[in-house]
Amino acid sequence: MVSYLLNRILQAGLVMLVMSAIVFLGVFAIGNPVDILISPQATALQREEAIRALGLDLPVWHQYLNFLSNLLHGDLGRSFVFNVPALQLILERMPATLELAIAATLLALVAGIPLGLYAGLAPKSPVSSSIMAGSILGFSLPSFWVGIVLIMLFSVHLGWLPSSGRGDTAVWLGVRWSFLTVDGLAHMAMPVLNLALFQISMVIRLTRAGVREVILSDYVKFARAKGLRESRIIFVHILKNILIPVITVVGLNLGTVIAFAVVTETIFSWPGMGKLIIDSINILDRPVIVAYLMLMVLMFVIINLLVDLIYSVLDPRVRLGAR
Amino acid sequence: MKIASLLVAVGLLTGVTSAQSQELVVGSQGDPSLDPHYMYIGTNVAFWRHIYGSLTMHDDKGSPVPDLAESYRLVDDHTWEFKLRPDVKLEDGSMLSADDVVYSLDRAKSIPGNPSPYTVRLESITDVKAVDPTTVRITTDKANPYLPGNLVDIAILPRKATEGKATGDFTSQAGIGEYGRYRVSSFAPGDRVVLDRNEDYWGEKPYWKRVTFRVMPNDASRVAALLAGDVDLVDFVPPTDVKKLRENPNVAVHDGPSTRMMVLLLNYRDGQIAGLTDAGGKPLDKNPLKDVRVRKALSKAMDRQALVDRIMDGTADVATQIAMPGMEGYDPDLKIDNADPQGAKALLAEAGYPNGFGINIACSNNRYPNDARICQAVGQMLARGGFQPKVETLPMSVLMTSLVGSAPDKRDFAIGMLGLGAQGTHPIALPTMVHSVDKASGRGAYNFGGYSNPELDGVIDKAVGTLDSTARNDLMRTAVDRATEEVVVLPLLFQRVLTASKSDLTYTTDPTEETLTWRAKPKAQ
Repeated sequence: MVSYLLNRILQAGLVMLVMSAIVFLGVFAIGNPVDILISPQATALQREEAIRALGLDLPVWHQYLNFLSNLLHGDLGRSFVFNVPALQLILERMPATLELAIAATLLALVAGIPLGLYAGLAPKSPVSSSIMAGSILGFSLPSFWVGIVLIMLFSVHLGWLPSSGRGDTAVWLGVRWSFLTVDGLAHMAMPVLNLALFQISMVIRLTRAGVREVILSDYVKFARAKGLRESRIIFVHILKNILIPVITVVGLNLGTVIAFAVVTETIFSWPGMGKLIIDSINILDRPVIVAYLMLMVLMFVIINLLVDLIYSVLDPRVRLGAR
Repeated sequence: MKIASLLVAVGLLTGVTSAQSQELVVGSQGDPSLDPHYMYIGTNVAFWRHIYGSLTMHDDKGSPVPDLAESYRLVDDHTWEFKLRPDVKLEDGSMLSADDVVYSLDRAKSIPGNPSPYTVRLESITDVKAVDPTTVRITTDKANPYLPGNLVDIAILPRKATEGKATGDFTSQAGIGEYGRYRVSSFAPGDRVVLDRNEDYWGEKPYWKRVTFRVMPNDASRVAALLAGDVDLVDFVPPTDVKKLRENPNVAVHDGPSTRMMVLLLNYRDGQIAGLTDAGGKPLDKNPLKDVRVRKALSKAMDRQALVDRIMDGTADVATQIAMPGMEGYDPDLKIDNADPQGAKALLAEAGYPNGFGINIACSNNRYPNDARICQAVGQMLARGGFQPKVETLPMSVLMTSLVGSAPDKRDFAIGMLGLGAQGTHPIALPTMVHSVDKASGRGAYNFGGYSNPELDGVIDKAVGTLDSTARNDLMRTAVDRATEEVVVLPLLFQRVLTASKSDLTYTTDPTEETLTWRAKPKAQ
């Protein structure tokens, strides 16, 4: 077990190193941030000075080595735009994104499972057909378009919900959260729905497929033959068994939702990490881009590791490291 | 439905009370830096003008007028003297003094890790001295008529409150030592800044007791927030939305001229350039852009009015020259070529290219309003004028890389489009795009094509060092006329500043594109 863990951590370290090189080279290739940021009235000399002050005049390998050595000291660089440590900037924005991602995932489960269950149990009913048709829409409509339509409908035409931003926040555990205030919840409604739409569709499809499969299995038939109540069959025999794959996929997807809430955050001006990364890419705020991507790699590595560990606990047939 | 109507009622109520309670919510494109000496970009300057001040301020036309300085004058050719107002009260109750000015002009230069320093506005300053508590003398290494105009963009900070504070401290403490029209009440980075009126402000107090800037970089979201009534005013309205907004009775669109000029840069480099090819796609041996007839053909091929009417939906002005009306050097007699594709073809034939040649146009697609669409239209116009254009629209960062290149002799663009905003009263294109590249004087920083004309250089150098405004204006006009005649660059259009608000507000835009909330007032009914 210990050797397995060590092995995995080493692997993770290697992945991070390779990723840092790819990210660094990629960002380097996009262009020079000073060209974009500096005033048009700057003289050539002032431009050179600014470039030198940021260490951008060095050859790329030199910049990369500097970056690595700073990284070993826990320093991911300072944002060019905000002049504060990039890591701090990202961590400050993280709660807003987490709040959105977790709410969206919960919504996906709460809405998706009952709908999927119904569609699976009564596949021929017209309601089921429309649920399934709706889920195809949820899959295929681009989320930026849905976001704009939501704003146009609920904010501009109906005036029910605020169009963007976080609204009032309350402090809990030293961090500002929107879900603790009524105004904040109103602000969360549309971005959460927007972010959850794809997830809901996925959960519906997974649940339905699971129900269709399990309903034909021997133990369900046996339960029926035994004369159990229908509700007990559905909620104990069927639901419990189909939940495992659903939870696995949704859990794994949580990472994706956190890392790529970009579109939703941009449209709803939600001040989370996704909006930060898009703004940073537009103005080539290199340290923030690199730090963000490194952080995301770390997050995926950790999630995958946890999933592997949990599997081995849940399913004794999976042995870690054993050949 | 009950809840819905209730919510609507609440919405209407707050709509009414927001004007009465003198609170203004602005949907703002920029995410402001609270340190006024960090990151010189227009949205930051507009923000710190709310909480600090500067020695001079620009008027509606862009000319400098006294602000914290009650008056200023030239002592000799190299020395300016600024007399401070005696009544500028700081947060701690003391008065702003000459020492604060000395401190601020130094601090603005020395912020570490600043990719866009304010230094550009402090060039030629060699010494800043406090003569007495209300008098500052600034010495320059050469005669600099633009000093008062340059100081418009340098924030004056109180030394006592801010000395030793880093940029991060301004953020974490939500503003330090504000003494301007407003003080920062709360700051959530990337989300909002709330300002409360400073009742001790020395000048005319603004109407709004509380101003909230909501950070909304996405154009569509900003406009939607205004339509939904979440914000009272939005800046940088996309030109494509203007028509729709004008038709909406609940919204008022305020527009005014902007100093930002969309301009085409040409590559003057010798030797083969990848962006200039023959019919077979091979680079030409000789650079045709060095022939003024070819450049004139380019200009004749442009239908600038169509760009303004069709692409910009009327939210721009045709640029007849690199100066805009009201600027130094503007020549009202100068006419730009009307669109004349036949004339362009004739000129091309005369220059030895009867079948035209392949020419690349590189533009940004994420920086200026409608930049990619302007570029595509320019491509079509060139095709009609007998060229074989190839349009490339790129993210700004990539465009800059291709314009700057790895070295001046490796630049492979043929035509590049940039938007150049002038912060001041003279056509900034003259010293930055028309003047030859000269590291010593710092001129020609945007002359990526390497144009060089010693005669024009001489006129520009003389103009920017002439203290007498009439003589300077004449020299500038000579330079503008020569640059137009030579078609050094191709000015296309001047953008307009587009701001929109609820219909019960009035607002006056500023040519610098700064959003200054004290210019927004409720309509008198």
